[in-house]
Amino acid sequence: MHEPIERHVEDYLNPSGCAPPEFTAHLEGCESCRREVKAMQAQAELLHALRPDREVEPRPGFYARVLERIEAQKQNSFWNIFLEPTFGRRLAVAALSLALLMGAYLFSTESRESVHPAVFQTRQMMLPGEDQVAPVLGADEEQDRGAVLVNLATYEDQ
Amino acid sequence: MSGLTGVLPLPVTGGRTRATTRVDHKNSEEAALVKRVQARDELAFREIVERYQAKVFSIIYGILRNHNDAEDIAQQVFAKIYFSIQNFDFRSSLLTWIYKITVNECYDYLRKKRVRKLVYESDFSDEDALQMENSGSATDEGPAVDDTLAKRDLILKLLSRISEEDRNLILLKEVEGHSVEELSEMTGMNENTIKVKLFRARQKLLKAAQRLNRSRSE
Repeated sequence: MHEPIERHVEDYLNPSGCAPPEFTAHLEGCESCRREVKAMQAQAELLHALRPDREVEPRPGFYARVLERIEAQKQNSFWNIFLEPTFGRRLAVAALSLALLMGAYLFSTESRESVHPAVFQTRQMMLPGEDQVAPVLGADEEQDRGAVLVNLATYEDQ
Repeated sequence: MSGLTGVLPLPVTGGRTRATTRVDHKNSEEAALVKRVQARDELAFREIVERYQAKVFSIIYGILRNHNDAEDIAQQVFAKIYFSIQNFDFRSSLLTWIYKITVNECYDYLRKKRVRKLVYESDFSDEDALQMENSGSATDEGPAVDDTLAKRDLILKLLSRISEEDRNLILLKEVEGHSVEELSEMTGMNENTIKVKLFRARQKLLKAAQRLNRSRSE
């Protein structure tokens, strides 16, 4: 549809208003615009079918019935707080953050434990820091074997 | 109506239209009433119900033409207003916001009704379904004029195929009879923006009608 029509079609469709001469002049010369404006007029008529044909008032006691419904919905609304957009969003962010933190924690513990415990402990025995106490041999046979093997493998004549 | 107001106003393009001064919905008597409801003042809520109940009823009745459905939906509309008035941001008039809630409730109802009808009708033969279709449209008008019913059904179907924002705007204009100037005040949008939006909404409705015609003829 052409520009003068787009700009003034509301004035034209308005029963009390009237479109400027440029609108009517364009309409006379343009078949496609004429067709579309006519369709819009028919559509507006169709929309008028939705106008209520009479005044409608609620039955007496409407406010009391509204309050009853509100009370009924309040009782059901505990679970609804999870569906409330703002709260729901916050809950989702909190759950995601918690999941990320737990994931990071699990990942770090997993990678630490992926080294064989015997080797890890042996490494600790071989390089004991000043504040670290070397494990006592004889407490665990498996652990002792690992420690002896590592000692042998890394033995150097002084 | 946040969807209607979150738009940048278009530049004035001349002609007879003029840009209106924006109405301050935050400092009106209506706003004071809303603030009282937001502070959970029950008397203020009662005032809102009493002030808008007739309007809400006639919007619903205009769409559904059934008094019992209108009562049920109107109750739900005010319950919704009660629960969500905390989110009312004063960018539009209270009536515009209530109008939006009401029309949405009507469309929710129509959607649910259609689903129920589809489930229900699936247990019947085509002949039974046709018979029910003819008798099931009983409204308060009694044996309604078929032509008017068909027109209403058609326009409701077409309106369901455009956006909520377009639908509300076109209903406020054509059904409620508000002028462009009034719509501008109600929504906080420039008159030219309203005109452009209305024009586009009308075009979308025409396209929806064309698509419907095509699918019927196929």
